[in-house]
Amino acid sequence: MTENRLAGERRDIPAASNIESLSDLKGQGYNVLVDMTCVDYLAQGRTPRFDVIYRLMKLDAATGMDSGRIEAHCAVGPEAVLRTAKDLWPAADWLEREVWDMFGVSFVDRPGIKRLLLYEEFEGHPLRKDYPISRRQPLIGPRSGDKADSPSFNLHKPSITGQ
Amino acid sequence: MTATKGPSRKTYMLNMGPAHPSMHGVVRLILELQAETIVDVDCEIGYLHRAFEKHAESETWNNVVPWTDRLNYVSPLINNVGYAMAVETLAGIEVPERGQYIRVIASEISRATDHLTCVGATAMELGAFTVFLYMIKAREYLYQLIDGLTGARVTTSFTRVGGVKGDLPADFAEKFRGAAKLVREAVSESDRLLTRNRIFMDRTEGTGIFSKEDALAYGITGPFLRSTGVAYDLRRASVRRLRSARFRGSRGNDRRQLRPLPLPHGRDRAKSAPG
Repeated sequence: MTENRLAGERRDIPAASNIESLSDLKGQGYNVLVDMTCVDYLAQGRTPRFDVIYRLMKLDAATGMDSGRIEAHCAVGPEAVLRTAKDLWPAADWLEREVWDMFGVSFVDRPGIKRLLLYEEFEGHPLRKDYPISRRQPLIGPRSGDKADSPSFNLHKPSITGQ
Repeated sequence: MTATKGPSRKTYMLNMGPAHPSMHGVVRLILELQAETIVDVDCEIGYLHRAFEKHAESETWNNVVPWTDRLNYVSPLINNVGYAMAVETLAGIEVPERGQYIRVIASEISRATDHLTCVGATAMELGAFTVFLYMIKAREYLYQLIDGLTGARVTTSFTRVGGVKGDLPADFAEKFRGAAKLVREAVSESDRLLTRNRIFMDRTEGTGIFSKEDALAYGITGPFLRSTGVAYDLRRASVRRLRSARFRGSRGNDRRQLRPLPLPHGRDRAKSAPG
């Protein structure tokens, strides 16, 4: 099959009015938020640097057939703050947390955004292209502030790649 | 002095996880309990995050396939296919027809192993250890089949961008029919043990009810979505040729609907459970 039916038609929506555009699309029948992700165009030197992508699907609950998918691309810079899509689709809650965790694109109008997969003390946003795979993180001890008491916690092993 | 009547409304917090003997996998659940009923739960995930996407950034296109084995490790072939399809879409590569069929067959076998594991584990959690063993026995037939096809039971790494690693072995069709028959027998036995079993019904019927609207709002797909009554099947949706195929699905909107169904096959329909 040359055509991937799941790819979806691309739309570009402005960051400042992302919720209005998404609401519009939901009104046109795109009732399911399939996925939300982000792409970092640092290597291509593009400004704005990120593309937050909302993947929507039109699903007819009565027949169980989907009649179209859309990718809504929202170009934002690293310090940008987007409004949350949680009220349109509750699924957006964790998806936005993952985008924040991995890329550092923040969302507002929602209770304080937390990381989803990594721990709060993690420094940086790892899926950004300027985060090297071999970067080490500071050692963190117990939350109480006590030092980790085993000597093996303080061994800093050299990275395999030598970076 | 008045005596207070009725159950206490006080709740207490209980931390479950990330490692817990009674659940599978690592996830942290911070439970708010009222006696033995869970009234709220805060779910903390990330313990299985292994940075596959980040690693994939420094791999060659085909070298990412072993990473995908380990995403959903109960149905690795499907992950292999999914990744390969994504790259092929981006690059505009068309897979030869035989390769597409092999991928579908491999994915279906993998899907069966996944469901066998899931339903078996569910039964085990409810105390039906025998069913778990029957399902694992059934799964084993399929693993032998996958072993012959890909060279490994679980870490299959079967697809490549543009096709699959290799053609079907010469005796595959015969082996598959043999395995499918044994799997259906095991599933059929488990069906007889569970589906109309009073204890199983009491433990599952009417629990975990989710509405269609909620399921769609949360972006749920797969058997979970079908159990709420939306007959959405990604296989039908994504492959034009299968648009009119009818897959056996389930109706109703509770957890009991997520019970085993025999692999679709005309001959066995008379022997298999309704719905």
